[in-house]
Amino acid sequence: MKTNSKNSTLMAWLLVLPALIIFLLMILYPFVNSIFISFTNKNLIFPKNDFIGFENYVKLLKDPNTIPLIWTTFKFVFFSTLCPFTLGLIWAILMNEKFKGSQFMRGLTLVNWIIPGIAIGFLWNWIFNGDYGILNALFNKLGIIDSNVIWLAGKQTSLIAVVTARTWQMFPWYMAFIMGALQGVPKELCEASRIDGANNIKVFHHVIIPSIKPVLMLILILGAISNLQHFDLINVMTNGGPERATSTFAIEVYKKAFKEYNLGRAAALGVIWAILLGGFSWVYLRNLKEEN
Amino acid sequence: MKKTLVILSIVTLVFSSVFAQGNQEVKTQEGMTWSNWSGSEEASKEMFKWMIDSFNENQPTDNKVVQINWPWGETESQLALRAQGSEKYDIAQIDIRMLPTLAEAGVLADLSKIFDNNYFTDNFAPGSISVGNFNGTQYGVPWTVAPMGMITNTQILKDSGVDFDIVTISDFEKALDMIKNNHPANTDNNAGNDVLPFAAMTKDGGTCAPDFMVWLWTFGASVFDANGNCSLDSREAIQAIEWFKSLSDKGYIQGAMGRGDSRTLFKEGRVAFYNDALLAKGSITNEKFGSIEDYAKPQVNPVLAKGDTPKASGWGHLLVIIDRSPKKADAKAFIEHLISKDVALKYFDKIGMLPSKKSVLSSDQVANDYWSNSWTPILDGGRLAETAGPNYSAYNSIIVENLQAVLSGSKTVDNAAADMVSRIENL
Repeated sequence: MKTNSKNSTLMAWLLVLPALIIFLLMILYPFVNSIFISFTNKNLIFPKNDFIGFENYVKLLKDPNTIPLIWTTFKFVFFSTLCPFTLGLIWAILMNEKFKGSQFMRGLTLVNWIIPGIAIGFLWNWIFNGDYGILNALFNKLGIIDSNVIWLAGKQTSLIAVVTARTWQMFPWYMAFIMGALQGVPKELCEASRIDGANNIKVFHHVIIPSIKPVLMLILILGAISNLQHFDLINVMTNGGPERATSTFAIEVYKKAFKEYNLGRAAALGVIWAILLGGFSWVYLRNLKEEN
Repeated sequence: MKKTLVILSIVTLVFSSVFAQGNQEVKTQEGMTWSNWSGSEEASKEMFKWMIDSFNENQPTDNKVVQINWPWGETESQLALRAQGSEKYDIAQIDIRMLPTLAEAGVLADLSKIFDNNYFTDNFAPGSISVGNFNGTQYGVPWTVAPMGMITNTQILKDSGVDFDIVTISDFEKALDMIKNNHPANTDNNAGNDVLPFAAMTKDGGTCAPDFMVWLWTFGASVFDANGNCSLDSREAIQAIEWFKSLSDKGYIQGAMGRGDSRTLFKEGRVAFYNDALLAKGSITNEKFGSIEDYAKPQVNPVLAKGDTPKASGWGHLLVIIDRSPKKADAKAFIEHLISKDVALKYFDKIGMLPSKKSVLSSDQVANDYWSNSWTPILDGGRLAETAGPNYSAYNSIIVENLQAVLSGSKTVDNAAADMVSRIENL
């Protein structure tokens, strides 16, 4: 009996071991190493690596761009999560209805999500291009504008452009999750509500939403985490500009490390970023625990 | 028994995967390694393959060249990173603006110890030699060197009634005004086909800041003064920024303009002026408008007052030897092959890269070429971006962000100038 229990424990450890090794090597070690680097003046070009205490953090706090960076990241995360979520919810409800071609439409919708971010960036860059973009051509034809708008040159319009592209990319992901949840809502419950006199809005509000709420919460948190880490679309479309209007943590850390070669400062910014991510992850895990 | 077998299998799997990398035989690369970016670009891929093959034909196995490619934007960091590791590389193609960083990082070999004493003075013009020199040491062999010029669409100028030479800033402004207000595409209501007078770079630090420096120099300003202090708040610098803003206010330039956008628009006949390097020919050739001499003409940038020397942004590619290469003599032979008459003329013919060796430059093929001939007046005025060096990207970002703020009106010229100085000094 005792030998069996020992064997089971050993077996459990061995099964966990591959994942544990990968976690230690690929996640924990780089993370701990980044924390160490954030206290040094390590540079990508020059082989220096001196301990400088909190200097990187102090410089970041004194940098007038740090607060705007947090604010821009917040705006990007907020809108890039909420917009595709809302669109995904509406689309999922529509796609959940049985109509001719609904299966095909579901598959077609997922195409956006499959296309690589870089390609989507180039595609939307072309759409929003002020001189030969299709959006200006369309708005011109419809009489909405009478001269070209340079979308990617304005602080607000460039953020709108990036959020639009991200929304287009991600709403199928939200749709897929929500559809899965919708299909789990008991039909009898909806029918019973209707017999009791509830209209569609009431059924949606009082029956469907409470039933799929755990899934909605989880995808909102996961979506926010993913947007907090998002890099490729912004990098291709605006590279964080103009005037840093679309510069998020991911863009700034990349620039600090690989364009300015300042690994110490990039690591310090990365640590602050990780703390913010940690907040979202904590909410996610708490949610998961509550659900269980 | 079954459980023990499963456990044993898992142990084997885990440890074999962990140590697989360690047991892998490290293959030593024979021959020489040439790092470049042009060899992976569609336009020059075949050319680079031919350059290497034609050299390798007559070489023993341990001297054969293999190439590794990175994108242009990654070259500087990759070369520096490799210097800290043990990976093999011997020769590299670098952009002239990468030279200060790589030289300071100790990556590059001093070529005066590899080439003969008079090799550079015998073969290259002083202007070309100087672009490969950093703090008195010759690190680079000039491969193709030609400062950036102002490329003009002569057809647009004609259609707008611009029939005078553009020499000074006021000539330039007058021409921009005529294009904006007289060109047929700008006077009708079809907004989609407007002609932009000047596609000045306004999008990213890598193009906007070095291009803007040309205007700073034209107005007698500079990014740094003689003592190395940032002087972007000087009277002349403020004058240059104000002038640049006035171009935007009058609709002569526009935001979010990158080099690729300006080339596309020029090719479509929708831009009258823009700054570019000699290699732009391939990107702006459009048979719809006839031969390139019918519509495109490179010229020097306008000056503040008649008689001033036109300013231009330095541009070019260098060939360098890596300091820790054990094959410096063979690397030298490969570089000599690349700049030899046959190879350089073929490179010029196929890609349009101007040779740098005096003997090749004077050949009929180069002398009779419209595009490179038009470049001759520009060749003398090139100056490397003042921000070139390890902080290139950081400095350029600060400049472009503040310029964008001025153009959008979110900062006054004085505030932007003060911010640039403060941020550059506190970097």
